[in-house]
Amino acid sequence: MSVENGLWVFAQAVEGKLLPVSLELLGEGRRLADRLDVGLSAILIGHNLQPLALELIACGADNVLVADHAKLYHYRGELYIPLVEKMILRYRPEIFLFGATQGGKDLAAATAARIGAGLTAHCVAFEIDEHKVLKQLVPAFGGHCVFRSQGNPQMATVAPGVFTIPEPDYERQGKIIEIDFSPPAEPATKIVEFKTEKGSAGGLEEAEVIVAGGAGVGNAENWQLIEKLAHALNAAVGATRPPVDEGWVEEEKMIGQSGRNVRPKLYLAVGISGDQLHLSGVQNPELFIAINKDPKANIFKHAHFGVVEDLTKILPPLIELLSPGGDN
Amino acid sequence: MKSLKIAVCLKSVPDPKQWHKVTINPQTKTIQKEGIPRIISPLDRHALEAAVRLKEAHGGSVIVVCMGSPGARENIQEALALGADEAVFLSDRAFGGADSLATARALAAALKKLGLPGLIFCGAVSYYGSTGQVGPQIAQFLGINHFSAVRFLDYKGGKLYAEIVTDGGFALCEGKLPLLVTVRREINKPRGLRLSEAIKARKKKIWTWSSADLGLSSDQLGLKGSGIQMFDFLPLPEAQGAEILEGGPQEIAKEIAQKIKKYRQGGIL
Ligand SMILES: Cc1cc2nc3c(=O)[nH]c(=O)nc-3n(C[C@H](O)[C@H](O)[C@H](O)COP(=O)(O)OP(=O)(O)OC[C@H]3O[C@@H](n4cnc5c(N)ncnc54)[C@H](O)[C@@H]3O)c2cc1C
Ligand SMILES: Nc1ncnc2c1ncn2[C@@H]1O[C@H](COP(=O)(O)O)[C@@H](O)[C@H]1O
Repeated sequence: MSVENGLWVFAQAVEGKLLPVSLELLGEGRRLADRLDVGLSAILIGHNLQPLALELIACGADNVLVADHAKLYHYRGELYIPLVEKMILRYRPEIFLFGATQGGKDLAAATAARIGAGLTAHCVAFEIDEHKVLKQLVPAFGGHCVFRSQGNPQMATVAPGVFTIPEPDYERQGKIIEIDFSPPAEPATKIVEFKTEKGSAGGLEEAEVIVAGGAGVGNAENWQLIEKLAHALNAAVGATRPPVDEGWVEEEKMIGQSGRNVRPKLYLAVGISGDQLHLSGVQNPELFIAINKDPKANIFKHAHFGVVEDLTKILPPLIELLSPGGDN
Repeated sequence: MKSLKIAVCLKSVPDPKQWHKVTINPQTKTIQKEGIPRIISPLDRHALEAAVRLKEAHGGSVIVVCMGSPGARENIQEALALGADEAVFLSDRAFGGADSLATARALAAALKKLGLPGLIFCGAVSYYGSTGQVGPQIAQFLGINHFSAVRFLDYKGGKLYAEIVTDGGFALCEGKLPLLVTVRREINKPRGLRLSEAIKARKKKIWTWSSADLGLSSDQLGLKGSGIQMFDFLPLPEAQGAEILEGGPQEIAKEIAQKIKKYRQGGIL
């Protein structure tokens, strides 16, 4: 399957590894490319990329366009943006999907502006319509807004965790196409120092048990109840937007459209109204319990079990029962 | 040394505390947000603060550029009270309904008309729309470099040093002006509004520009100039609803604890 006029996915390498979202996009990309009967290509930029290219083929890519150079090891707009623009102009993809990571969002936005294409953010599902146009679904207003992006290619960003990683098949065959790159003689920007740092999300994205608090928690003191409950359950702490804005908890803990996507098995929502822009970041929990004092709160439409009560009355006994030595 | 010309792109957004009042008309697919109080998009206050601090340390001037509906004028006034020297207000029906591409195109045209400031500040992401696309896109339309997601900034010897948040950690970058930067909230703590400054700010100039002032045609702007279009709205099917646990707090706590325990014993967790 040709690299021309096909479906492309930006494959992002960080510290010698592919980001999971790149593989997630290949799974969805494969499904869409098959519907359109076109090739699926991954765009891989970085250094020492051979093993990563093979991984991309195993996960569904027909072609991997590789730009390999020491100067490309870290994401750098000044180098990456013109390079991707050049690839697009040469091979004319029809659809181009990016993970909504720091680098992915930046590259997608800048590239879209350069070629004058539309770019739809926050997509959670795609469909191909009868005219072979990509329909892009974005959660909002208690439903999904369906967008079409104009221009070539049709571009979209997808948050990590929306799709799942396909099972790799190392028997799959694919083509690796090298793209030449020479760094500019006098770049205007440079990276002076690079430090790896683990985010402060506390493993939220991988967590199987999450205790999330919302505006209903009320103040920083009560927020300790959320932390204690999470501790008792050996769970990760999550939040809606208001606790982040109030400074009770770090921004990295925010779940939802502008925060993180999580896939817990057990989700405990405390003092959360259940707005779609929060819940769209919580993927299919197997057990979903909500505590909210308002019986009409939207969260009760989505949870499996609900408690209509003031959280300050429920959490202290619950923490006690779940802590080591609690009578449970 | 030439004095530093700094611009801040500032977006006016509906107050987050009242977002639930923003609705969509599923028939016409238009979004209603009239009557909701507007604020400066929170990260743009940090962007403004960063610009004003640079001016205070190195001299120069700060100009605010804002595209928005008439209600945004109050937010511009507030920005002037917070230390900006003057402002350009892009206010014209032709700008309405713009996506990030059409927004960036209009803002870039305004910045060009201002004689391309050496430094342009944006928020890393706005609180409404929240695509984070506009900053990097303005930079492309202007043909300049940019740093996204900056959490620390220093300007020394005519060069900008920016610590940016990346997917692997963070990077300290160095760049020559002109540059555009998008800021995160960690970059500073914005100052509060002072009455004396608010009074002084009333004398500061707000230039109002229309699409004609930018030399752009109406099909490059607003809804028509946008790269994405919404063509359908699909309401979600009614969800099933939770089983409500009854009893006193102690009983309910016990029931929840038991449910979690039972679930965990099911071997899944
Ligand atoms: C473009 C955009 C993007 C957004 N992205 C996100 C996002 O990524 N993540 C996100 O979370 N939000 C996001 N939002 C905001 C979102 O729309 C909601 O405003 C937010 O999720 C509400 O948070 P909440 O449920 O904690 O607060 P509220 O809606 O204020 O709900 C608080 C709840 O607590 C209950 N309560 C109050 N006191 C108590 C008590 N003592 N005991 C028990 N219950 C109590 C109340 O009954 C109420 O239901 C976004 C909004 C927009 C417009
Ligand atoms: N209408 C606007 N007027 C001025 N600046 C804007 C406008 N829209 C976006 N911006 C700038 O771009 C940043 C990112 O916005 P967004 O892409 O909407 O998330 C904002 O924080 C602002 O600095």
